[in-house]
Amino acid sequence: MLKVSHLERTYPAQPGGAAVQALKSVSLSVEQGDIFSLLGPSGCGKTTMLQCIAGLETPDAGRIVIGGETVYSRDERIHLPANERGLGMVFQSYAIWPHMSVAENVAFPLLQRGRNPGREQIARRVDDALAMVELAGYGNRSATQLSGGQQQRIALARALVHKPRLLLLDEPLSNLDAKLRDTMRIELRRLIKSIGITAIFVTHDQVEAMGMSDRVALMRAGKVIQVGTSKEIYLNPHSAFAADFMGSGNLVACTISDVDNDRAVTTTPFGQIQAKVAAGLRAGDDAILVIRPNAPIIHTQPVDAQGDLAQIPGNVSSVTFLGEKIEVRVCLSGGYDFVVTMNTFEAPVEGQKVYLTLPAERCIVVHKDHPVSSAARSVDLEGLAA
Amino acid sequence: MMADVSAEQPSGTARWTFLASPSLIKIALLVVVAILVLGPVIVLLRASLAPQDVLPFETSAFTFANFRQIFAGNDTFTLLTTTIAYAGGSVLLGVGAAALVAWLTERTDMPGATVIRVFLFSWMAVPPLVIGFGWVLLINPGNGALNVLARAALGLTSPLFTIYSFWSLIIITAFSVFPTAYVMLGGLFSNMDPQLESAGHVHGSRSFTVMRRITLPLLIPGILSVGIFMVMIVVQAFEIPFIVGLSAQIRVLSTRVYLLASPTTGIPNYGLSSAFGVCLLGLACLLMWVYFRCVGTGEKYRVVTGKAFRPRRQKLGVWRLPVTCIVFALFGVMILPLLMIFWTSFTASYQVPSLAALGSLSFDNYSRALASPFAQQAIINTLVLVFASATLVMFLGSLIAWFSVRDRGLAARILDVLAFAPTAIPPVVMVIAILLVYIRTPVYGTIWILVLSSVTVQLAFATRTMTSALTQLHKELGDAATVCGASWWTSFRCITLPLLRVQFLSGWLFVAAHTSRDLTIPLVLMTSSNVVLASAIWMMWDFPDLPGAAAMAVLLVLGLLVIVLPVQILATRGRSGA
Repeated sequence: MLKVSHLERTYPAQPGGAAVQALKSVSLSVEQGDIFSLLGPSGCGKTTMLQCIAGLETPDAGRIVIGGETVYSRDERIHLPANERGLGMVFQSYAIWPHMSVAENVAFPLLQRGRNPGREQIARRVDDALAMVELAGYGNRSATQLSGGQQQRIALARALVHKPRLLLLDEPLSNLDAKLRDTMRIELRRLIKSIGITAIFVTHDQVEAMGMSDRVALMRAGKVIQVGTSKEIYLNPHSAFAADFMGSGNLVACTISDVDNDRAVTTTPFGQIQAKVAAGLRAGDDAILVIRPNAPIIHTQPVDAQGDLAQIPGNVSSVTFLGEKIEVRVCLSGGYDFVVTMNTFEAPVEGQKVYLTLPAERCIVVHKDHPVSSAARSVDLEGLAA
Repeated sequence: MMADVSAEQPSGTARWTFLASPSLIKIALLVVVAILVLGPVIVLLRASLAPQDVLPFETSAFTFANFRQIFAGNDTFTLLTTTIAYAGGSVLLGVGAAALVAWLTERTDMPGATVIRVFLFSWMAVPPLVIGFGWVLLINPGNGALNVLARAALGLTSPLFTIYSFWSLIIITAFSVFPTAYVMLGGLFSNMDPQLESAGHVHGSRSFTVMRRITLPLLIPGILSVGIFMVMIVVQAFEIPFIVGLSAQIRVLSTRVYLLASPTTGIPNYGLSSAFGVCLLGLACLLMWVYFRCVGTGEKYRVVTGKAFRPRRQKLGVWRLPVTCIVFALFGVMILPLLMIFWTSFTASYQVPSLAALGSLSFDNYSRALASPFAQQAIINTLVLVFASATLVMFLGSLIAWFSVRDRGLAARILDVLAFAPTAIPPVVMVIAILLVYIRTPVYGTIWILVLSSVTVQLAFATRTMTSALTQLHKELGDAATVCGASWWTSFRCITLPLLRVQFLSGWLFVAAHTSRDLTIPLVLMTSSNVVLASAIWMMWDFPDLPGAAAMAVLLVLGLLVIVLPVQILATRGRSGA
């Protein structure tokens, strides 16, 4: 449905600054009917990417094909203006026009490019669109009288009323409060799926990306780091950055002592641990061992470690109550501070001795990041510690 | 899904949509603005290097004779020093008074602050032309009303005041500087962070010390930059030096430029006029540069933040009554010339106000003025001029603003600079340059050349107003329309412009007020067929038909007040409500 190949975009240097390479030869492919997320920290190029697809931004090189039609190609000198791409878009600020009524906002796309389907047709389609977002009867209201959640649904109705071939969503949930965000996320996904439209969704929140999308492209510094379902990226990240961004985790510097098929034996500050291994890693490499906080099985007594199970003793140094779960810091041998989450009803006490059992399929060894990234991560880790 | 879209075929009008593509509009704008702004400047430079008494198009000779003549005589040096003394003196008085009154209304418990604010903000409805005439009627040495009264009351033999002196010119100009400076300073005073002063109080200073050591030093850069800005305005000003200064033989650069191009006797000397115009342009650019330098250094004193503060108000105590009386007396003096014009408009032939003359007052002048085809033509011309130029310039300004805010390419930057340039070009110089460009075309002599000149002169203001409005408008509002399928033009017309309607309207009113009260443009470009109210008043005054001129002046002021006053009252109410 959407094919992006080798897209490049560099913002020219502003006075007193350097040029910013927002997209570095990015390629993507999105299937018909998928909800596809562009996920990454701010400044990773995800919004530039969306703007290029929408036509609001002109790339420097590459090619964009929507539904078989090339809308941008530098080599063929094609650049279809944004208003001729036939897309729908929901903006971060919703961009509801305050000088128009709700119905006028929603009817706007139906009247563009010389179209005028007639009064009844417009009224019917606006009503349908409003009913679809459960705002039937709101047509005559002024757009400014609505709440944030309602405005967002108006924006969605406006983006869908002209039956676009592709729906673009630019952080649509970021302006809602936390509770509403959760409901809207589920609602949005149900709606998009019921229409069957292909959607591109930009977000910096991995929970949103996981909850909304069929597939995720994790972006960073103008590049796509990893593409896959959220489960794939969460369980099998290729790099420390992907592991860290898709959820919290203990990232342990280690050395790979042995690799056998998809398993590796790693040497860590607290002993040898068996784990799955990301493609391209060999014995002797310095790598990162990723252990999710909910991966270890915790015992208060030592148990028999069999097969690929590793068992590490430690002392509980702090217990933080978070409601649905508790966060426990365990001081392992070698002074390593390890974070695990536990069931609220099984809280250990501080100073208690515990044993962490680590099944190999719950651990993964990934590539170390480039120097830029490790700096960024250590900041994150500091933030976590504070 | 896709079939649905293609089923709705674009109608025939779509054929023309390519004309509304932004890059075409940008090029068209560049061409229009370049012709408007650069055309006159180039012709002015050419004319200053051409032999005297020839139109710049009619010669191929280049000569420095004009500049040699300017710099040869002592005359020019006197002219320059007079101009600078005139501008400096009136700005010192005007800005000083404005700073004092701004402090009183914004930072003390003086009563009547709102009335003063509305009064001073509405003063832009009063044409300088009318004020000039009013002062002439009040204090001319022969039969000026105040002189006659003073002679009767004090038994003097010589006139007490005279309008025909350098000091009168300075004081009258200071009165016209005062409201503008107040408008600029008011915001500065009311937005100052009171915590800076509180800090002084907390650390044990007395009120007077805080004012002297903290408040004043913090405000000095702001007051200074307003002062330099006003010097720039006064150096460019033409009307008051023209009406008041000429009879007193006080010549400044702006009147010199005008008199060379439109002498009362003899043939116009466009070459010398242009050369003087170039000098005046140079002086204005120099002042502009100084202004920007000053504003730049003022940045480190940024006490005026965007936040709305509720400033601490100084209690005036026993000074409250006397200070209020003095301020209102000042306004009384400001209004006097208006009252004088008002009185004269009801008299059959000019006479000094007295109880005895009260019985002979009538509306005859008004009915006479309104009945004459000359005045009717002037009123219609004024309406055409005001509506056409305000609408055109605001529209042009909005388009330029869009490109300078949203596009930011090289062409957009050139557009921005070109639109800003008229700020540094004195209107009288600009109009003479426009005269030189169009004198041989059919546009000359019609009302449309006035429209064209007003658009050029007001372009910088319109662009700046719309630029600051547009920067506050979220970019996504326009993008949303584009993604919905709207062309650039539809998005601009249906989304951007309606959302900026408030700023557009207030800018429109400002331009309309300034266009209708302006005399410079109509006077320089005047022919028998394009007389507007301002030039009609001037002609009747010069004729002389003082009562008729006064009646027309009152009509003009009333018309302007009807536009300006409600807006100012609303704005003030909105301000105190916020």
